[in-house]
Amino acid sequence: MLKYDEEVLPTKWYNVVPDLPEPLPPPLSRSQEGSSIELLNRIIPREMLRQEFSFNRYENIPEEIRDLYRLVGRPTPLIRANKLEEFLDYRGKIFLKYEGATVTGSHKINTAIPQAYYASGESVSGVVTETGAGQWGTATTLAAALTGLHSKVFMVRVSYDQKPLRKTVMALYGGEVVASPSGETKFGRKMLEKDPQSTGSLGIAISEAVEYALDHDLKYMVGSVMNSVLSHQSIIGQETMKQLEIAGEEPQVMIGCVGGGSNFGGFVFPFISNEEIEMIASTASEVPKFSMGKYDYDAMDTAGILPYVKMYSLGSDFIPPPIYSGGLRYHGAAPSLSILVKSGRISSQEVEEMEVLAALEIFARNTGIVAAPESGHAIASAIRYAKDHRQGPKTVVLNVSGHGNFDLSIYGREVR
Amino acid sequence: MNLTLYFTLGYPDNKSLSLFVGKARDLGAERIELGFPCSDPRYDGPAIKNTHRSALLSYSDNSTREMLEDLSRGGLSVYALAYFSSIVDDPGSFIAKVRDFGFSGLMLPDLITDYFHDAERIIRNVEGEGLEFIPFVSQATPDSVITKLSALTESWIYYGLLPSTGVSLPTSMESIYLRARELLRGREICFGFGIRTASQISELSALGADGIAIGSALVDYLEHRDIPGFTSFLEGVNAVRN
Repeated sequence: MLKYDEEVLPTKWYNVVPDLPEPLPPPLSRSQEGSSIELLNRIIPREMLRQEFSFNRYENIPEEIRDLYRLVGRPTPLIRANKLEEFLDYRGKIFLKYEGATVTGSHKINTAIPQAYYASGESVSGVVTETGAGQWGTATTLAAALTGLHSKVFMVRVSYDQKPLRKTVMALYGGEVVASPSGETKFGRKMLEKDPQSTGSLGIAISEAVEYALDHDLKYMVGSVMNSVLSHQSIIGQETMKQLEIAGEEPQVMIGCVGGGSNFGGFVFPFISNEEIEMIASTASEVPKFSMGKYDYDAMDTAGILPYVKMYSLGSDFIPPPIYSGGLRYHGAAPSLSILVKSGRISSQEVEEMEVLAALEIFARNTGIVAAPESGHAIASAIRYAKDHRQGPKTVVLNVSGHGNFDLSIYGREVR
Repeated sequence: MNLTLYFTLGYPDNKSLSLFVGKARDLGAERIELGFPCSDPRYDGPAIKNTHRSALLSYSDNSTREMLEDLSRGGLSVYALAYFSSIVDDPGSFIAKVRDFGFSGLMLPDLITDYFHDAERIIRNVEGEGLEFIPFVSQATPDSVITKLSALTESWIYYGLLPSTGVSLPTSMESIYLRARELLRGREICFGFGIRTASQISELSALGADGIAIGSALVDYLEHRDIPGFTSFLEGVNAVRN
């Protein structure tokens, strides 16, 4: 078992940028004074920034980080979903990569660990971040605990109210959680003045976390969108590649869900040079970034403190409907993923919440996994694919980015 | 190691700029790069953005023509830089103007990134006018694009080390250099963006780099019309680049 783990756990992170079909447009500074690109030096660990702007195809993963990956449950399993194939009467094969098997229950820990590790090497007292559904906040608080740092998390108000157990876990890991918009930052206060009942958004929570990091000399942990984050997540795809190789299988269709794009990018990018593989990005109909969004420069955060990046975006002031899948409510998508969607290499699909709930039920009864509502979008897209191609015989590989054990109180009532 | 110096046309004023450029020639710069001011120099950092803002008011075609005539007598290679977004409505007239002024070549820093599908046609137009097209590539340029640009052109190549001019970010110069060298075998590569210290120049020189470009680090001297400071800075650069 240990030998298998060692064979599957990658030794390098993969960066897709050198293999994109078009150049990645650089970030832009729109600040009136100084450069918001240079501002990153104050809030992002140095090594993380070097990786962000180096675009080396491969970066070695330090052994200390691989040790932490092992500790939190990597490699995660790749499972043949044969009961689901039977249920759907699908004549091809369906595999699922289960990121919910990490101790924090999602893929988010894959980048939280290196970011906290690099921050801990820079004599800062703590890290700060935002969270939507709570998966990123959970990963941040654990990674901070494992590297001896204090952590603070601005949690989007709607999730803060909907998912109380997430707060409990973050507190258990030693994290301090506040609802966003909060009264703790200038931007949060401004948002509350405009709308005291604001349910918040990831864009607002990011703005608060960045402002708090700047004001308190803390490092800011980046949950998605940036290249370095997607590179860290490439261990999902690299593990999948190795596991399929061991199983003697070739992937033909890969499906994942997209919020900011990090689990999806991490899952499919290592396979990008294989033109034979069809890749489907599943998003929420309520947050139609690829079909209704504009591909142009936009702010990553609502306050516009961070650099602007070129991506599909619904606008950084977009306030999404309060769907359960907090992780999919982000207004934009990672620039590298955006280029691949624009060029047609990756196709996108939208799924409504009711279809997601039905898919989660089918999935639970045929795999035993209570998946996160975000992952439910990928599952729903996989079910659609299987129904539309019953004769198969393609091998579908699906990334289940997290478990939904903390979401039961919310969608459990809805599932019959 | 060749030295390329960047100035924005019209900054700080046409007469002072001529003095600085003449001094650069006297101090041994191999190439001068002159930027046409525009309203959205998006990939430049704060220092060069400010020069564009101010130069939009002072730029003059006549002064540019006179400066080029003067420089061409000294045998210096002078290249024009323009944002394609500022000439997109009529690139043909602009390219012809650059040729008539006597520039050796043209660089369009946003062409490949923002107008990727027009790039090949524009490169052929530039070369069709007898001008060198200087490809601008960076770490974010994919391998396949670098290889394609290299095949389309014969000139030296400008390699941006950072996402913007005039900023400071952690980089791994050696891995950047090695990747550039491998993808652009046999081509002269000039590294720019964020170069201002002797240690950066020494590191590139030790790696075997062909050339460096400096721009933002000159802006303070230009703003204060500080020729002695500029001279001393370039003497320092010359001491480490050779």
